[in-house]
Amino acid sequence: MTLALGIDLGTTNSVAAVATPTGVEFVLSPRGERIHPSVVAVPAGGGMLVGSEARLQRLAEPESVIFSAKRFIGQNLRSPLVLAATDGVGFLIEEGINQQPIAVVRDRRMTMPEVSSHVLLYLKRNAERQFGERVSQAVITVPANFTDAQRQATREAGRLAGLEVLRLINEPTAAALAYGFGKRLHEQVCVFDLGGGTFDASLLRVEDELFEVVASEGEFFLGGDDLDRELAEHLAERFHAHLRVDPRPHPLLMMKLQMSAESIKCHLSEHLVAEGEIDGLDLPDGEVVKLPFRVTREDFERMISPLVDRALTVTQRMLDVAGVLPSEISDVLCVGGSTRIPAVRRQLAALFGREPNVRINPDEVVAQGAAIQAGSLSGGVIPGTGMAALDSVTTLAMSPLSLGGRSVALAPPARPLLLDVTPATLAIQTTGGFTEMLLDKNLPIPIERSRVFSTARDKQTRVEIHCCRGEAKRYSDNEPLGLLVLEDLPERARGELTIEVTFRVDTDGILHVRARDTASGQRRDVRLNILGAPS
Amino acid sequence: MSEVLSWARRWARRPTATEHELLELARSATLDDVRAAYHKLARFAHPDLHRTAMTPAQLEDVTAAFARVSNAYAVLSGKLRREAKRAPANPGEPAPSGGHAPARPSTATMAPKQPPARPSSTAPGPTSSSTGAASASAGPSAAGAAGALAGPVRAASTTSSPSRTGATAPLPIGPANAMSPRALGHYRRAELAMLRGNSTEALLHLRMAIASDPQSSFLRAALAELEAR
Ligand SMILES: Nc1ncnc2c1ncn2[C@@H]1O[C@H](COP(=O)(O)OP(=O)(O)OP(=O)(O)O)[C@@H](O)[C@H]1O
Ligand SMILES: [Mg+2]
Repeated sequence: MTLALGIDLGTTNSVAAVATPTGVEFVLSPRGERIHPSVVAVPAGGGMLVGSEARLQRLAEPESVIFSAKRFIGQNLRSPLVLAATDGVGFLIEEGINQQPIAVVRDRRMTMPEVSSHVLLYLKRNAERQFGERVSQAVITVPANFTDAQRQATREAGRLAGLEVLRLINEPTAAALAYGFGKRLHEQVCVFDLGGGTFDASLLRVEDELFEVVASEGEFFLGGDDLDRELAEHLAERFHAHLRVDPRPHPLLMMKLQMSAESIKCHLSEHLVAEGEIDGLDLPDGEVVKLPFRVTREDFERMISPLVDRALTVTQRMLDVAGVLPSEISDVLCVGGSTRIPAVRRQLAALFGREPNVRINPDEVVAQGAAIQAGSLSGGVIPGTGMAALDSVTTLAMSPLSLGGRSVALAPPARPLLLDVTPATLAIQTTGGFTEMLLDKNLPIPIERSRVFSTARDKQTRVEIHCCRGEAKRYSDNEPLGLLVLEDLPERARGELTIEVTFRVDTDGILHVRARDTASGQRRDVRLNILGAPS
Repeated sequence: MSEVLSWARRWARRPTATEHELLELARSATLDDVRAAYHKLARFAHPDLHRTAMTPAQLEDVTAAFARVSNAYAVLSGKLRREAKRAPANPGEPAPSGGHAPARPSTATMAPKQPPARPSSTAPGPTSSSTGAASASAGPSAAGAAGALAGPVRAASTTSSPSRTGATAPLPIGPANAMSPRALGHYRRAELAMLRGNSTEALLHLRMAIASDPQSSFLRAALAELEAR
């Protein structure tokens, strides 16, 4: 038998778990850690390091270390937000084919799926060593607002790591699954996931073992990394004032300040003041200096308040879209390391009028949900098999058996069923550069919808179907997804020839497009050529 | 497993089934009914429940059918939610059937993009003039114009039922029974277009109906009648 891993492939950290006969077990590093930095290093001595060892390299040889690959996977390097994000990284990013970003370290050029595949392979190998079984399948989680190209690229990373990717599931959905599985709940829960690089807020309706996403909204470039950057900026000003050298043009110095900022940030989650010295700072002239600092929680909260406000605004919008009042929510799940920040919890409590649920482990809950889904999809967790993965989660929660005290055999818990939603509005271009929407955001998946369009010119024998993602009326204001071409169509007067365009979003949240000219009835399943995806 | 397969194949043979049919609901179904029906079908037919027990081709059949059920759910629940939002104050009164733009653009699944003042919120079909104008202006100058598409001809799944659309001029042709199901779908849309007073669109659908069922004398008669007007 081979194992199916559940993997939370995070921007800063990755966690993997397996549903085993003794419960959900986490994959440990050789040093026994459950949380693995999503970092890959190519040290001068050769070879490749992954995880916490690679992270340590950030101090020794920062230019040899690739991190935050998730911010770039499946992205178009020419998009302004992506370009802006390349600013904060120490490694070189070049443009590859299809405008995809390529990480360049020493003599190696790696696509982002390749970088991520090293993290996945590392998790797979550790799992195989730990469980003594082959790992060939996985469920990988992605942010709910991941695009098609990002999803495809994540699948590609899995494939490169030798994993059959059973499914991509959305991180908040996985969290809700881990929270509610086996509890036979009937309630609405909100998942607030503020991680290292991305932010999502989702509303789910949980009914027995059915987890239905009602709405999900998010921001792709909003997370702990951005909070670190705010604080690093503040430290840079202090540095400048104190040592009369502006560190901002020096990537190595900024990297150290940013890493220090992260430590200070985490300290401030527990304490009201962080005070000390950052040492080992190399000035351009070779001198090594120290920077004393004192940051209060209040200072920090002031620095990050615009970012936290953004996350809460998105949450409010998500509730509006769902048409649900904060008071109708039974529980607010805090997911992602950045929800440990007291100001975040405070504002969440204010919005929902209740304390958020912080009993769940914000770092592990996503991987745990992925593991349950992996077990379910691979046939591991099936009603009646008495898989303890299921039992352990059930007993952790309040088991219906322990409540009623009856020894009557309850119907075996059904396999969990996830009903996720489309991540974005999907449309095609029509004449005049406008768009016509095919599928709205937040619709249940898998979903399929067709619409019929007519040709714009007489004797038009070729039709280009430009697909895009976004809500703007003008095609050019949206994010292009790809192009589908129908050729050699029969010559007809304009408007006479009709083309049926079918959008299907599969259970991975990936779009498939078909087109057919209805006159000849000839079906042409033309594959969408996804922009920015690894080719 | 064979049960879900025969369910899926039944819908594959009926490409024009309505949302209510797909969800096995009466037309009076409420939002809660719609949700319950979808959940019930999800527990029966969601492809995740069958992936280990089916061939890829069988799984595709089930996925295709379930994807249509999801769409039916999306359309009906969206419509009911919008109606509830529109008329919360006087629940006894039926929601207005046309001329009412949905409150939030993000939920207006099929609202027409270009002419905002068109008197129907669910039917995006362009009038003859708007199609012509859009095509002409798009001509050679607009980006990608070589292969450009004109506006949509129909909303495959959001057309409201004729009964809802109410008292506009009825199409001069009787109920259809002498044509293939596929053709009937187009014919129904032609009827709807007529109810909205859009004869160009009606003509188009009628032609499409004839294309999928060239034998039907009923359709040809309908076309002749419409062209004569
Ligand atoms: N105690 C803490 N206080 C504040 N921030 C913290 C704390 N612990 C961890 N973090 C921050 O949480 C972030 C990592 O969270 P997490 O591991 O959930 O992210 P991720 O899963 O890698 O990212 P994403 O989900 O965005 O892809 C980092 O930015 C880290 O600095
Ligand atoms: Mg995460």
